[in-house]
Amino acid sequence: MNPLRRIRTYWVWVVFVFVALVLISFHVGKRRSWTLVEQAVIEMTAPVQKFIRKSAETVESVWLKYFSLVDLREENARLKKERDELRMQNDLYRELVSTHGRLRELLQFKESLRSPMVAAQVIGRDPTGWFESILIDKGSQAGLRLNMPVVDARGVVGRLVAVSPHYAKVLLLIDQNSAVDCLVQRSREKGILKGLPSRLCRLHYVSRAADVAVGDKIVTSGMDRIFPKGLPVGEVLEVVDTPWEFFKDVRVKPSADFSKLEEVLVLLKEDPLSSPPQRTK
Amino acid sequence: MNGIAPVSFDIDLVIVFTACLLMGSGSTGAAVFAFGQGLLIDILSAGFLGLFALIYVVAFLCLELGSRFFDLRSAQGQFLLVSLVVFLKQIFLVGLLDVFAFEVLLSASLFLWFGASALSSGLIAPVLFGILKTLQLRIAGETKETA
Repeated sequence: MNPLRRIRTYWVWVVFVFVALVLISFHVGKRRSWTLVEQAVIEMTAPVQKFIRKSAETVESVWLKYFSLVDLREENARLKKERDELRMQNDLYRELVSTHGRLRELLQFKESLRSPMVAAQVIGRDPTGWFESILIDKGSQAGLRLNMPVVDARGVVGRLVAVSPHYAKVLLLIDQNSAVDCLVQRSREKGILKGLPSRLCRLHYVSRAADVAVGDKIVTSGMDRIFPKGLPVGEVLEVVDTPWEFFKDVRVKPSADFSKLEEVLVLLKEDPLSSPPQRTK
Repeated sequence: MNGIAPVSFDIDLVIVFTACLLMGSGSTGAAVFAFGQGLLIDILSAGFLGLFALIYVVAFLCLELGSRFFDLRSAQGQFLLVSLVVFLKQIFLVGLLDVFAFEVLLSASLFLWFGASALSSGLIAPVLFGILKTLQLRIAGETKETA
């Protein structure tokens, strides 16, 4: 190779490495939404992603409808939808009963079950395979803002971490960077839920004296001011009490099926970081 | 420990296309492509901006240096170089994640995933090289005819 060309190649490489390191130094460890340039890139590339996903879904749908059992598939889908709706209602009612029984004599408690929400379709997943996030087809034009909670029929999915006019990125519950303040529905023990590999979560900071058992339902506590109180998060899969550890090792199986996310609901809540906390009397 | 690990193995088409561009269009084009794809991945992913941009630029450098030892015009060279660079890229990624305080769950199965990813990417490289070369020749032929 021509020596001058080789020198130019290496200078090109040095410049790109320098730019990448500068980007990393500005962004590592910081929570940020998309900048205007990134929003422009997303607005251009997301429709392509959406089209590819729709094409794949159409091919899959044709295959399933015409080469499989047509009626059985439709009935199965109808029954699954009905079951998911009933499950969500059941979880909400269970939480209501628990909360009402506890606060009936002490507090005047008002809870609104109905929050305004926007349905969105999942059009893409994290391309790296190391992190857990999804791209949805609604953005700021639909009323979405940073840190809004995202749920589906089964439970908490995640929260918005970046928003553009027509698209948004959701950090999933099962990502290592995700942290949701939760409590055990039965015993009201508190903890912070963080993601693990293989689509499980761990409930951190559960004291060794805490009453937690396999099968316990985990719900949001509302203390992080991001997720409303009482949303189903998951079920305790395993509790390990190691004598030399300060806290119990509680593994949680999330309620939402992250391998089959197609539609999600975004709860239109104000960004808690932009509004002061409300004082309780 | 709250570690992370890849969800599934993948075929790294970015490195394959960077190698194609390195052979066909020269190093500047390949470097720009690698950097741009890395940035796009960073924007779409839940990681921080600049991570994959850096990784793919370093992968480009490995391809550039490796092209002196492996002949990118032969299928064997394409397979070996792309496989090696993909494997090194995975190792570098694990190292970077560790530096930036992500706890990576190291295990034998992780390196098996890396090996499978490298092998698959290497196997698909000659196919893509062939397709792109055919397209290039066809476009060049059509350009000559119109001229």
